[in-house]
Amino acid sequence: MIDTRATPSPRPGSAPVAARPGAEPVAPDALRARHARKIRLGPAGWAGLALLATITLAAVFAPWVAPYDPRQTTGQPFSAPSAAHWLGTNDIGQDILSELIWGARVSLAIGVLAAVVGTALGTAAGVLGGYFRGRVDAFLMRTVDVVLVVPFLPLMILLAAYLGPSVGTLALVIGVLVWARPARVVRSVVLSQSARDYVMAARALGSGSGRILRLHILPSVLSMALAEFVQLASRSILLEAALAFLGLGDPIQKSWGSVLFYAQARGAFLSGAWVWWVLPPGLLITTAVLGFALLGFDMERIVNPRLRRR
Amino acid sequence: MTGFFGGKVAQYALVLFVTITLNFLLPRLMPGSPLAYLAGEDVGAMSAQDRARVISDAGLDRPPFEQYLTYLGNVVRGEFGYSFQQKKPIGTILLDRLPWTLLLTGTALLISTSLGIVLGAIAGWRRGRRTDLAALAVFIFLESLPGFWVGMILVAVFGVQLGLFPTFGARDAFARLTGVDYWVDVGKHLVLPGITLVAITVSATFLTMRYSMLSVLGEDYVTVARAKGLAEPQVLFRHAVRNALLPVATVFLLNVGQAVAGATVIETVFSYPGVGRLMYEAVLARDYPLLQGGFLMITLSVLAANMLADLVYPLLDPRVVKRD
Amino acid sequence: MTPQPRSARVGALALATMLLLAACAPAAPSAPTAAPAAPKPTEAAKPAAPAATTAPAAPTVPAATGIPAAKPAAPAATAAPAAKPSVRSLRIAIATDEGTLNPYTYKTGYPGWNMLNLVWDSLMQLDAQNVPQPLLAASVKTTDAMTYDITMRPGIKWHDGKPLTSEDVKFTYEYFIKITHSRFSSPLRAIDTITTDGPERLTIKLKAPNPSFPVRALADAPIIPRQEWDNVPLERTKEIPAKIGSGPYKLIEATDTAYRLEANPDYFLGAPPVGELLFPVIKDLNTALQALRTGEVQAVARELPPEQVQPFSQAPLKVSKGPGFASTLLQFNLERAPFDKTEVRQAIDLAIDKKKLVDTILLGNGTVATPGFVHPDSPNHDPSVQARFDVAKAKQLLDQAGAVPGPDGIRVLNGKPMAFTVLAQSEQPLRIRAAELIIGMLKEVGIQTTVKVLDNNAVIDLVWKDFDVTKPRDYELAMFGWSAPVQVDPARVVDFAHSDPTIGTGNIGAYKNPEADKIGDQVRAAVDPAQRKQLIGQYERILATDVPFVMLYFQDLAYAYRADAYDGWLFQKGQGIITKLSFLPGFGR
Repeated sequence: MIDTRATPSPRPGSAPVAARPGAEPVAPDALRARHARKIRLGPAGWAGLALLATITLAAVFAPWVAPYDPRQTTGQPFSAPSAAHWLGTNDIGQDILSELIWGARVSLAIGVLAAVVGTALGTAAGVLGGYFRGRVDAFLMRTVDVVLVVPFLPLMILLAAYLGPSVGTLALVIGVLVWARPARVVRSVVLSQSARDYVMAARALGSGSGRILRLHILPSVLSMALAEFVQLASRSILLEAALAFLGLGDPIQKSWGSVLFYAQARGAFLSGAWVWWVLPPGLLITTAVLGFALLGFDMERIVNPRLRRR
Repeated sequence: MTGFFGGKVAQYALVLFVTITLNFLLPRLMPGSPLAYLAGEDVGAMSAQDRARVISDAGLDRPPFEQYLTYLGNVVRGEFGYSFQQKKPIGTILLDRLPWTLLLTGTALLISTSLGIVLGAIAGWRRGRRTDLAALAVFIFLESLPGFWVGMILVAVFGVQLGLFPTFGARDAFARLTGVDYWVDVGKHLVLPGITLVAITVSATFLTMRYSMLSVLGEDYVTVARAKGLAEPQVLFRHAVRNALLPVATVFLLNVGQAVAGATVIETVFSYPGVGRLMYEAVLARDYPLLQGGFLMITLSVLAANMLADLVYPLLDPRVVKRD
Repeated sequence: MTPQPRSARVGALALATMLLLAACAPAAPSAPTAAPAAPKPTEAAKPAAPAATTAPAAPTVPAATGIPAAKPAAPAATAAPAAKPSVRSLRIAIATDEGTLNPYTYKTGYPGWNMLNLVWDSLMQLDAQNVPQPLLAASVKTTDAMTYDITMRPGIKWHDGKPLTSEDVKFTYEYFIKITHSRFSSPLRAIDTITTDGPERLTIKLKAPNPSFPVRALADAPIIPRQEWDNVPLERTKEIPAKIGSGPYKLIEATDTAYRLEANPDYFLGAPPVGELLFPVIKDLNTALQALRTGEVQAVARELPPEQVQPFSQAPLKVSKGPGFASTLLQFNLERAPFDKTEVRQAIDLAIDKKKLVDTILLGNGTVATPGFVHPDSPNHDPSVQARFDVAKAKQLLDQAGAVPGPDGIRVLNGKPMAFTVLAQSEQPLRIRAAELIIGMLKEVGIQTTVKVLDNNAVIDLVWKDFDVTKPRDYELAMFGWSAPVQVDPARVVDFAHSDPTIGTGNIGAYKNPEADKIGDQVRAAVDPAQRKQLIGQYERILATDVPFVMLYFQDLAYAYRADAYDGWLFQKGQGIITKLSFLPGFGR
């Protein structure tokens, strides 16, 4: 269930491998990627990239693109759309369009940062577990199991209180929450790789662990990690919005989630205001997530050769 | 074989123990205290002695480790005490909420799973054709929607503008309905939150099923079956779908485990009396007993589902055991 | 003027800031005018004739007389309106469950305590102006504000038909004193002895004269049946089903999603005008208001946000509005430099445009607060104490304090840039918005602020740890607020600025001024209204100079309902419409 508890929604492709805690790898042959593949995007991937590029550009050039400073009161509170304010104004007279353009920065930043944290943690755990096996593996995979059931909301409030609610905190919390899936996926890649002849041979020849990891394991892991990263980013954006909606984000930061938080708190749904105050941020979230999802979909097709057309 | 299962069970026991400990620890590490809810509305007016008494009556003045040991003992005995805010036994509270949560998440899960399987199978079968691409586009789009936003819009449109469905709750608590009328009413309340949940969860099953179909269709036995000249539907159902269901079954089992946790955000939008919202409020109130009891219930169900998936998987797929 | 010791803590600091503990919990407020000047007899005339019972199916308003007022100043209850067509059932959305709705399990002051109050009666009842009128009592007499002679109405019965006697009253008060209750225990601990004289008479002796006793105790503590509560220890108070009261409604069903109350046709003031009250719990305010629109509920117990007042005034919807006494303020931690400097606090006060906050955030539906804490509408308010806004003067004060603007425009004081963190509660979006506007206003004068939003419980932990002002505080600035009742009892202004922690239970900023303490003690002891008003004015002026907190605004109260379903609502001053008075047409209007 999509929820703040957010178990990694079991994802396609790697699902049989990744989804089950404590399960041994099942379909390593599905991940028979010897080295990082050259990624050639299909139409879906390009479409995703285009969506993301548009939003990123708007975010980067927000000071020039946005008609107003979103922190300034530039109109009457609760104004309907007009020539001066295309999407009207919010409850304290700030320009909603400008809020959304600037908000792209925070929403994207949290999505990307959380995905970085999640992918890094997951990849590290997956590589270590998959390569060293035995106790290290058991420990890491059981940790993954714990993460899947750990009470998330208290953790969230705990970290926000001690670290201060900020983009960084949110990204960290979400990242810590979502690393379980990449850990499993990466682990299975490593397992299948280290069982391969050339790795065995390298080991027999006395290559050190570090060297084997670097030369033989990591390259194949990287392309998988990249695909995972893209998917985590899309999930993190959704999670951020849900947390903001519950009031657990940072309402001071202009993000799409916080715009929705105020729209909800100030009754946009009870008047016609939802058309310009609720629909646009929701659509923007959808667009960004869709961008990542399309890209991820395409990348998964690439890194998971079994799904290629024969 | 026994080693495989024995080791697994021990590992799960360890995970359970760690989680139970975290369920105790995390709520108490949050800043703030349950005092306001323990004492009642006018806590600021109480004398220092009265406040101290409230704290000690709740056993919160004892050393943390002692509290922890008591907690462990109570977990073993299945005793969770009274909720700080609702002042009712934890068991009663959870049992009140559980049926509604399961009704909502369970119904949504069944619908989204069956829908996902059927459409995923068709899309996989018709890979690259218009049906497949259209379905893909729709499902990837659905997966990108923020659930609470969808819910809010459904309420605004179908609840308020069109007046087709009730906008809050799980049933009309006062209508004194019986029999069929009662269930019709419950069903009506279920429609909007149910649709929302299905919309945001169906893609996972669909995409898994579709991928799984693609893999299976590439397998030799399907090629063989086709080569033997078997009719397409026969190949589809007898060979491909049956084998492709395996990963979907895993996904399904995991979701069953999660179903108990409810769906906080959707429950909030629809004021649905589920476990998710209950836990959210318990967190804000620092209601330790309710948090401990509720999280334990969720932990147990998630772990049980995982374990089940673990145990069932080798039975379904002999390769697992071989590899081990 | 001799300071008189007050044995009862005038406490009851209900928190406006608490999530789920409604933003405006009404402790029984003592309307300033209600406290007898010199202790003089409070008396009520004969009880109303027991109402003729009507068929339960069609409860009607009895043509009973109201209860004559205790004092001429209090509005006399007029004769009940002619029997109206009865309303069979009303649905009122509430925000949170109220436990099992017994006196020990309800959660919020408003509407929780008011719902409770529909099932249980107290000896007296506040009227629309918050003046106590006898209810279960036929008369309450005192000559010295220390000994209260109470005569009960004859023939009052519990819901199970057993008689309610003076023994129940004695039992109840002693029970609340013994078994700690956050709201009733402290005021009742003023009692020295209770003696009964037959089933209809009792005498309460206090430890010291206490003119507020009727308001804070007699009109607040619900009388509970001895038969049900005898020997119930604290830990079992939660389990008691406790459905037997004496009030106009019977508690039929209490779950965590809904409450059902049914009219008591035998109520001594006559059967109430609404046959059945249903309280569904709707967590989300928007959902509740939408349900009001669709007609799924007929009233919403929660405050209507300012932006909804206009849209919800269209027929058949109606809005009942009045001034609110819940304050919003910016609290300083005076233990942290530079907030120990009076000029700095004054400068921040001067830099904040309170009028703009009211206009922008409340859309004008509120009152600009004055720096002396007392609500400007209060009869005790000193009109010379006015809200201030003067950016030039603020800058000048900061200059004088030695805070010079650095290269980035942020002032530096004693080598430290003036950059501070303001705490705000995630459950209070309006306060976050106020903080957001304040950031801009303070930036004008060279002070940088960032807002840190945490859940309320976490904010309390930093600002008012364990609700104990003697515990360490860890913040610089905080958005805060106090609920309505503290505005109604004029002496309570002292609670927020007295340096003695047993008196200044709400002095969360550790403000300390011996002069203020001295005047404060006199305020608390004053019995003569004129003298008290003068002292309160003096106290206000000290606060206005010292600025231990920046008073911002008071939000108006507004409640929406469907007038086509029921239009008998009564707005109880500072509290709202979900009160007992709304269902006692002949009483207290």
